[in-house]
Amino acid sequence: MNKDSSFDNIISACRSNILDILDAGKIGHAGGSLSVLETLVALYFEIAKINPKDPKWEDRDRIVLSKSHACEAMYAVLGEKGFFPKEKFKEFLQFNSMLQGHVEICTPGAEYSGGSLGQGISFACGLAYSAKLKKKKHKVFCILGDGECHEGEVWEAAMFASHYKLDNLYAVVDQNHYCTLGNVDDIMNLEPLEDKWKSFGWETIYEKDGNNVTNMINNFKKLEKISGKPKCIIANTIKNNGIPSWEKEHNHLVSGKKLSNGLEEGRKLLK
Amino acid sequence: MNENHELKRMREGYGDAVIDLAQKNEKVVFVGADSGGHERKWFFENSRERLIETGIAEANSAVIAGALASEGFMPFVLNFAYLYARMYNQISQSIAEDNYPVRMAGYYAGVWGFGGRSHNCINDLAFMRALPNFNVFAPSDYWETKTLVKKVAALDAPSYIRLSGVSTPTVYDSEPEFLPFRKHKDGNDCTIFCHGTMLHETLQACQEEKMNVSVVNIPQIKPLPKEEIIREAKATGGAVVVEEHSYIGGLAESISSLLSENYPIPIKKVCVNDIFPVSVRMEEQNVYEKFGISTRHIKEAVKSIIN
Repeated sequence: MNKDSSFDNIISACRSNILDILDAGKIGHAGGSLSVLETLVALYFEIAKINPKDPKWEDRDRIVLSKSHACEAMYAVLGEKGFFPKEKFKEFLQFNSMLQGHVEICTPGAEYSGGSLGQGISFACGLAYSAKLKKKKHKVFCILGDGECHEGEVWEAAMFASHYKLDNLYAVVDQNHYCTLGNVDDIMNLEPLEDKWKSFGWETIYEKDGNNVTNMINNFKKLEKISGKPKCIIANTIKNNGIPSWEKEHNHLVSGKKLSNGLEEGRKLLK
Repeated sequence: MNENHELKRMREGYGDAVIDLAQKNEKVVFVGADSGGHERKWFFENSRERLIETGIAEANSAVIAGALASEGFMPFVLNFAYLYARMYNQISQSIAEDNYPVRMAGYYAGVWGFGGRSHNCINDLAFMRALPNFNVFAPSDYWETKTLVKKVAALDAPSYIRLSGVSTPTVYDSEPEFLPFRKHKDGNDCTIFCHGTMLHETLQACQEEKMNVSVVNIPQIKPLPKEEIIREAKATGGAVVVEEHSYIGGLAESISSLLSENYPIPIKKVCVNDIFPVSVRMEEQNVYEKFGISTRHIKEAVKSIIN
């Protein structure tokens, strides 16, 4: 089996996990989870040095999901990678479950408790600075939403990373073009987004197919060679990728009938 | 006790203590957002990489401190008290939720500052107390500030220390032992609970007029030393709470709430009204009189409790 098709299998398994998690919780942020999945698979299955048997290993790479509402994708990938048994998916959103409605550090493998947007990138800056202080070689990866880039704090952090030349820090902007209530640029224009990151001193790549794992892996590898500055990939993705009816409506949250129809549609496509 | 009441800034005590800790422990780092004084200068000159400067980006500074603490460093964050409201959601999510031991301190707390309504902060205890996992302290002078910095350094939890912005009379003459509840004077008619700058005012009021009252300094606002306060309430049967803070959400409301549930007694609050305090010159006279928290107000409150 070539590598691309093995990633196809992993993506299918993780997408199936996402559907199981949504099914268990009866509600969830499907859209942003399905858009960011390939980025997470690229990181957890190829790029990042991590050990599911030792999630707190000192020299691991740190992965911070700043858009932590995409928790279903995170749990799907962490479960698939073996950080915890997949039976746990059933407990999503249950009282005191380790799978909360936004990613929190009670989940093995999670590095940051998010929810309120714009903070994960600051946290990642702090982790990257800590690594430099400790003279450690590990990397820090941070995944943001494009709507999240409306937050001023993102740009405070972007300035910080560049000022301190944090070349161990990688940001991915999952540009799925939709925030809660509509098109990101209609709500508040972000463009030119790539120029913004570049002007803040980040080595920036625009990836027009951010739902392609191999492309994402190649981008990370390209950026690895850059030193002296932080790095950013703007990944053009599709919100609700893989569930055509949800894709059309750009749903942010799904529940009820819409959820059950989408689950049925998604599961058929996975067969 | 310090009889001369030499004027000294709590800020100096904070800086002296942080420098002392930083010299002994390499894990100590200072996170500033274009903020800080001689402690910042010390880091700049002696351990440049342990000074993490974010520029005027307070929200970012709070979260970066949280991350540093998560990696085992001991971050100290210093800024204006009022700016902790600006960092509030960041402190809540990126520090308090996961109990990261970030040591925060806010200066220009209280009514006395030239910055005016935006800068003079009389509600910091209210909003910092409301954060789960947080420990909240208010020293009464330069010396007790040093004690509290050592106290928060030893805590494996987030903390906030409230500092006045102006030089204040010293009450102690050396670093006192840390006590969350410290009795300065014994009496029978009622107990005056206070903290911060109001400890000196209260002791002053007791010198100006002979009053048979207990005086208790409570530098640990949260968690409140509940048992000692209840025991004290039982002993004297009346309480006056004095603080350079709004009557909303500070020590006065904490003690009222505690005693109403456990041992209801008459309580008088000598606090600042629900206002935004205007600018005050450093050399201004009778500042506390203008804001309703002078020795006169303390004496009147005691009389109204006793009668």
